[in-house]
Amino acid sequence: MALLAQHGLLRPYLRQCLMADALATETLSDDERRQALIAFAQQRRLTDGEALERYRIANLLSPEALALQVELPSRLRRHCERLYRPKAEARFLERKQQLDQVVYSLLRLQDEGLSRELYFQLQDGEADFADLAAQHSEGPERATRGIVGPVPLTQAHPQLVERLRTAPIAQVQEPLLIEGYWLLFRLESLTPASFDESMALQMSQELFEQWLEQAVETRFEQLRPQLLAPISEQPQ
Amino acid sequence: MTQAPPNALLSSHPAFAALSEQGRQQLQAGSELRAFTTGQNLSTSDVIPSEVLLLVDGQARLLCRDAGRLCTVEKLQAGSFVGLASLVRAQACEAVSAAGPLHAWAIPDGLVLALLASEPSFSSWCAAHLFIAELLALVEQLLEAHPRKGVSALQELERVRSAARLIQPSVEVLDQLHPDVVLLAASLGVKP
Repeated sequence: MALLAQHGLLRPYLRQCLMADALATETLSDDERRQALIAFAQQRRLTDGEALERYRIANLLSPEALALQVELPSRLRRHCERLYRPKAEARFLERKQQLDQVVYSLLRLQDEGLSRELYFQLQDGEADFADLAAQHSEGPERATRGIVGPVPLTQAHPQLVERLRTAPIAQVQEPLLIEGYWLLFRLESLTPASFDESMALQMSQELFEQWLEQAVETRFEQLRPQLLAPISEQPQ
Repeated sequence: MTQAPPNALLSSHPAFAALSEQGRQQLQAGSELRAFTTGQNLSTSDVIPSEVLLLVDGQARLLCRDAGRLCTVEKLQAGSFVGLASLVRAQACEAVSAAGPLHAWAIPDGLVLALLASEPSFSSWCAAHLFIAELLALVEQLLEAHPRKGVSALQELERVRSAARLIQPSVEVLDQLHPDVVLLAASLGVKP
């Protein structure tokens, strides 16, 4: 354990162990196992049984260990559905605002006067947002001709999020100063998140992740006295 | 094609074309050519500028805030004044920014006032020229005093623009007006 901690691997190791323990009781049908194997092979471009065997040997995996890796995503899904699905909707409602997806055009620059002039050009239909962003923007959105998204609404700066929430679609907004840059933006679309099956699974997995993080922390606390004790007191 | 030198505008502009020789010399000597960059403010709507600008080249935007949004009222071209309307009516009414790099003659307010006092051709030109910025300010005042739902200042400006005209505030002129005509005193110097 001390060696794992020394190399910065203790946390991921504990995480994998705790996850394997939690999922050990989940059982899969033969068909689910087959589907899991197909998905595993496709993801790694393993075209036949020989390729899978070469992969197993190359990664020093026993047949049991390989089976564990293959079945992990399916077991995880089943575990999440069984234990966390009932709480998924509550989590969705709690996180809904963060899950709303947004697409917007963005142009940021440091010159206030220029930002204002570009705002007028856009508002008066004298110029195209994409062209101006490609020509003038000083942010990474220059590469995408100003288009940002679809991304979760809350991914943007909190001040921008506030403005995007209430901005009308397709109307360029007056330059907004954020951290030394004047931002011109135009909301293209705002898609409110909905609670469908895929969202239910996502929320269930988030709840499982939350549990896993707590379990890792608890295990860390248990190991602390042992790993941080003076050398003379450490077990040989 | 050769471009006219910038100072030619000071002689040829209709406001100055009939200045006396002395007035012309004062104008040429007292004016200074300035360069402005894109988006730079030439004038704001809350301060009477200390200099009147006469655009030599490039374009500027006359701005207003209409229904909460900052808008272009119109684009000003070479030969347009910035600040003259505010100075003449003794109340700021011109928010103007450069729509690109431009040059303008800067004429000190003291010189403009002196020309108004000593040059009848210039004062007549000012008295006969209806500045859009001034008309907009009057429309905004009217809408503020009598708000109407869904009516924007810019729409109202477009509606009254072609019909609006300046008149001399004399008894003879006022007597000849149709009773339906609305009169607005544009200058702060007028006592109600």
